[in-house]
Amino acid sequence: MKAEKIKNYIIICLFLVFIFGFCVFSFMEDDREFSEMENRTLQQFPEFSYESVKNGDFTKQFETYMADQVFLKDELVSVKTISELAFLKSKQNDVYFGSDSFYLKEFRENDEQIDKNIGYINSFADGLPDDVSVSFLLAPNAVSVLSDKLPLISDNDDQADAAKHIENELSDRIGFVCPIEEMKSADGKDGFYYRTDHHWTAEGAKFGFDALMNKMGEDIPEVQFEEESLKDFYGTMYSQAPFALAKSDEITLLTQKDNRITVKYTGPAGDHTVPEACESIDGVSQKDGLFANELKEVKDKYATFMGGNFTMIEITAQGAESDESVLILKDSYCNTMMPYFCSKYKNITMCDLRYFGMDTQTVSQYISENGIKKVICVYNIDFINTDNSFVWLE
Amino acid sequence: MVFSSITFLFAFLPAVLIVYYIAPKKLRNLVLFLFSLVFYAWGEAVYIWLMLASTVVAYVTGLLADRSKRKKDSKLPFFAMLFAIVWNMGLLLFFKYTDFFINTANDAFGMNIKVLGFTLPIGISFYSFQTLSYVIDVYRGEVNSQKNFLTLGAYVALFPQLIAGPIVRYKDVEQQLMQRRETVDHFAKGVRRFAIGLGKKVILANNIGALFTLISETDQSEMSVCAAWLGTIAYTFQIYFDFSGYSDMAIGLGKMFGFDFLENFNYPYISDSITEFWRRWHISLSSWFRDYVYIPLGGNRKGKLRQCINIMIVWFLTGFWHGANWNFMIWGVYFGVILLIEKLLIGKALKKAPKLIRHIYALFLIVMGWGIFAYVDFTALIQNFKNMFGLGGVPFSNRFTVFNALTYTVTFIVLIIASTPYPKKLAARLEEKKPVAFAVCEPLWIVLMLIVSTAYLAGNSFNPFLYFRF
Repeated sequence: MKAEKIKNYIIICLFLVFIFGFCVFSFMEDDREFSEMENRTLQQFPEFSYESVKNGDFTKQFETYMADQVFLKDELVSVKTISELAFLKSKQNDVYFGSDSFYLKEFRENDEQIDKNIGYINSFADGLPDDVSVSFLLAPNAVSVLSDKLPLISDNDDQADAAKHIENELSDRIGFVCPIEEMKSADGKDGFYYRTDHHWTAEGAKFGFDALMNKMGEDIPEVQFEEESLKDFYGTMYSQAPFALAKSDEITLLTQKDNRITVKYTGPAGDHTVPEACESIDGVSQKDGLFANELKEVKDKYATFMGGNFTMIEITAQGAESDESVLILKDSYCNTMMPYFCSKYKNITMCDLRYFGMDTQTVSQYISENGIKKVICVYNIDFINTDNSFVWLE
Repeated sequence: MVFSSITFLFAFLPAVLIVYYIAPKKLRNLVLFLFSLVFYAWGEAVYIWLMLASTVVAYVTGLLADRSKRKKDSKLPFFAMLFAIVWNMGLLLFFKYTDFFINTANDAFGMNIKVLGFTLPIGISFYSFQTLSYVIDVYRGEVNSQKNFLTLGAYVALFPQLIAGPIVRYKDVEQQLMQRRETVDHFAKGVRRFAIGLGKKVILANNIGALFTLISETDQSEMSVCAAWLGTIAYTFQIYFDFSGYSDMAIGLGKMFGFDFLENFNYPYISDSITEFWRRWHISLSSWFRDYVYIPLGGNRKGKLRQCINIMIVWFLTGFWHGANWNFMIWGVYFGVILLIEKLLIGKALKKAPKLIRHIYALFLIVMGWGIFAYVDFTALIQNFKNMFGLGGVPFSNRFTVFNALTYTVTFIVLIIASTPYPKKLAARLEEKKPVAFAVCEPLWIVLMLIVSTAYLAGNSFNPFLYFRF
């Protein structure tokens, strides 16, 4: 009888410690403004007023506040991942847990979106003057190149099929390359992609760059880069399914000696503000070098390349091999490739259609006004498959 | 507010527990009443007036319906009860069913009446039934009328059972409302029950619910016969763990405040017949209909034919109670018909059949029932059944099906085991044979449930609550 009482007390105490503990610590702990793990701003304590209570804003925001600011939030999410793994689920939030600590993003082919996007690219390319060449590097994703790392139970569409489909749909005047098979059979392919992020690494980007140059019939500059490593990188896919046993990645930043690079942020900001090192010259933010040093220490380290994604960036590389001007239509896969592009072309304009607005001139106008003769598209398969910003090419 | 939320667990519950146990006994009903009002107003502040109005109506009609306080031939108690019936049914009809009737009339006669577009007041189906049963019980003399408004108010608004039941009858908690002893033993039982309910809802129901949502939203071109079965079976588990988990939490919370609510579920999926299933599923609802509809209609005392009619009326209403949609009515009638068939035709044959056959028979009909219940949209409902029986022009299986079947294999195994009384029996055995091991394991198990449930709540936005609609 007595033992029964003690057991009951233990259970009650544990329960009370649990709910009061979380309660007290959640409220006592300083509220976070921003979650690096989730890459979003968090709800702050809502304003309490007659109005906000009456229209229901207060209660809604309070619930979000509690969920966002709960004590040990990031650790709790990691516990959830472990529980999902215990149920032997190989996928969480569209991300597979692959072997060798690789996260692999699910790929489901969406032909409707692909056809739409390719349609925009085609009509854009076909409308350009004949003396402008257009090339297209389609970057495969880790899920296809490293498909041998997929878990036993997985369900993905074949990216090689999607690449073939894209190649068939593309206008004849676009020189297309997708090095999917080559990357699959390459030695050291495990180093082509980050384990925890959806991007490719400097090595993967180099492979893509070489394939593009070969396709364009250009020679590949032989450059000795200086390397800098950013350690402890946990990327976007880790945030989808945080897991205590995940292995961090290392980002390699490449700098070419004697190649002075000036970067001008001419268009509206995209997913980041311009790097801190920028000076404003004639109202245009500009700086030397490709990397934003202040982002080396944050979680979102990939944004160190170019300081994130921007609508329009104009780059001058004094030590480039060729004096040509090129326009690159790109997604974030291209950012890792920029050291290579800068060793090749003197004047580069990077254009990210995602943040394009109505007020700017069209891409075609830009090309003719700036005497650009080479247009390069760099997109990863997943991007072409899902993005809907290509309409801005019209 | 729902129990399965961070706000409830780490803000509301600590607050109500502290204030409740600090308050002197006399004030505890007031504390419960006020916190319950906050709990209710949290989601839909306006409708709190509706619930309070219903409470006032129950209070006044309850007093008037008390025949022991009136002259023998007074008609007043009867009319008071009648008013309570009209009020509660009126509210339900108005808020829950008006738009349905308007839409039906519009469709049937090509009319163009505007719908009201009210959102359904939370818990109205539950508290209407509760206040109504109170007044009727007073009229029948089964229970005394409650003179203290606060006591009755605490009963109606009592937050553990407010929004999704179980339907607690006044006569079952009358004593506890007026004087209850909160004990350590009681509280500990409540914690155990709450933790298990939370886990059932957050870890199991939400998990398998994701599979049902995925399949029900899958394009017809991707579907297969097996996927349709997988989806319907997923829903079968989702609704049980969702609803019974919520009932467990309600019963557990009740115990923390010294209340004993009656059980609402008793392992329904181990049933060997539909008759048995309905003795084990949502017990508080079926017994409500039995006591306040079936028996007053004459039950089985007025001949076979009349009994059959009564059964059909009850099951039609049971279906309709679940929502203003055709599929719920079909679902109710479906079970009414099966119950009649079991009663009149196959009951005896069924008893002689091997246990396995009986079990498969019952499960098959239960799953079919959820197939009707799951789809509010009639076209989707028909399509799902066509797909299940190979008439939907879909393949038997495909990659999508195999992937999801494999992904959820462990989940299904856990769900099946958790649907049976075996885990409970196993725990009882352990407690008996190895009391020390049990004493160590049980608290760990409870803490694990709480932590993992919290992890799911913190880590996902997928936390829909199914029984909110009803």
